[in-house]
Amino acid sequence: MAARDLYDAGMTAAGTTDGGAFPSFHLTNGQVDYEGEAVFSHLSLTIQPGEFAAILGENGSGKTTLMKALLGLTPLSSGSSQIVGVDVGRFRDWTRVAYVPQRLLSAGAVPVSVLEVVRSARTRPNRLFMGNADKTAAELALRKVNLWGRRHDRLDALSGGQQRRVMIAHALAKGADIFVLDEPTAGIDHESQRQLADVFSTLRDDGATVLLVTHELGVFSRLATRVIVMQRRGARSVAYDGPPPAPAHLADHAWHHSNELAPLPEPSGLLEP
Amino acid sequence: MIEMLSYDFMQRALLAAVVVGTISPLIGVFLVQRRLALLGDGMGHVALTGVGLAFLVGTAPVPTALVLAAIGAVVLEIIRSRSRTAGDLALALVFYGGIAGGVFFTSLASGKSSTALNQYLFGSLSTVATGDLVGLVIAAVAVITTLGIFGRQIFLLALDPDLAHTQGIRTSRVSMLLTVLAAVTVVVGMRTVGLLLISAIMIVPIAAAQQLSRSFRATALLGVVLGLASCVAGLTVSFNLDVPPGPTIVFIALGLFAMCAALGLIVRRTWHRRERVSETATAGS
Repeated sequence: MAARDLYDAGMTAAGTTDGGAFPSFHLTNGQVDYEGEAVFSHLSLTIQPGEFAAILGENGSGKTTLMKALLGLTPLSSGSSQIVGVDVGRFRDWTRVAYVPQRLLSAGAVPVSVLEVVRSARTRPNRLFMGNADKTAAELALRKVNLWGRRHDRLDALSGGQQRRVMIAHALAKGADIFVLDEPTAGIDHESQRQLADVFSTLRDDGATVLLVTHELGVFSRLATRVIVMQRRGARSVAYDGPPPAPAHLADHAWHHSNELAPLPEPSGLLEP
Repeated sequence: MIEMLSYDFMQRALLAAVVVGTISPLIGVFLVQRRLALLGDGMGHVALTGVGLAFLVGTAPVPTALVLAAIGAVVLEIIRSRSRTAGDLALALVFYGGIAGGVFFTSLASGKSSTALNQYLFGSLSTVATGDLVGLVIAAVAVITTLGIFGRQIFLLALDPDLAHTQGIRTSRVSMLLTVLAAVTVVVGMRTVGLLLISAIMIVPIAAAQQLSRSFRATALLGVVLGLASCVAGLTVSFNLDVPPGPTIVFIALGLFAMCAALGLIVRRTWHRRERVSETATAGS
């Protein structure tokens, strides 16, 4: 694959032009209400370009709501949120931001092939046709997660871990430099976790910004440069924000599990180069 | 078949059936993926009130039904976007109100018997006028063109609305667009299949196709083939047995579904067996 093709296919992560002047995400005094009650309030958070940040917390700590607010999927009832310096409501440069949901909402309703899912990453409102660059990007992304051979299979015929890798391929195919992942390691096998870690350590080295929301870091504990722990005691708030590992008493639940998973047992030395 | 085609009204009915059989599954595949399989029914019921109103005030039934269905589509979409449970309830209310309105207004209208209403409920071979046909073809071309432009966005929306949002897609607008397309399709099909059963020709061919397909595209294309086959065969049987075309078309579509389901079962079993064999072979090597 020539470098030119890679460029056309939008596969060069962090190949962007703002020079890192703006933070990737910038939340100021944010509040989100759900059924009249604040999920969190007066929350400020800044994610700088190139950070590999993990938001940890138990169910109900508001971590998923925080992630959705940062992406503009959940409206703020007060405060403001910006993506690379643009108010989230007016943000249009979505090719830079890739969101990886835990699973697709409609998985299994109508058969959808792996390739169709990954190619849909190249759909944009102002573009009518899918070109060769789009197809190349989808192929490269699927090869990176080692699922090119399964491209014609139904998505729901794949294992949970493989489906998560398809969603990662979707994000890669987009050509983004900011990645937001919802529970990337929950319930997936070690082989898939190992492959995800490989992909994301490359992305980190290329300068991509990664924000993941999880209750257990798993393989990502080796990669994270910053940990944000949210807790639900009293007003939900940030209990810790700093380099990993989080203090044991705060992230007992979260950290306990991730220590079990990482470092991963390698099946054999043969797979390593 | 040849004898059937010697009648002008049958030529028109057949052309209308081809149009319906083609566009209905194309919209249906998106509705099934969005888990809105019953939306077409709701649209059909609203359109029925439109037909009743047209009888009462003496306007043309097709445009009146189209306007009512489009308004119903927009209202349903707004309620649905507010809350999931409210959407479900709203759909139910629309079902009841639509039927009641249709029968009520038709009964009020002088000189319109239940036979007239029946033609719209279950389709009719003889009611497709030349003017209607032009409208049907224009509507069908509009639906297909719109799908050509917005199909990828609707696909992404149906896959996952949050994912669609993070690709810059205006999810509420695209969702509204799909609902309006469904309303247009319902009205296109009301002469041939009838308003009570039009939704079936959107959904059943897709349900049948997905027994055999592994991709969205293949499901849509096979759905169109099955939809066309059901409509053309149903019309032929309807002509020969002198029964309304709607129920005949739907029976044939259901028959095709049963065949596809059985075939799918056999095919999947063979795949599994082959996979197991290849796994054993790999493990042994």
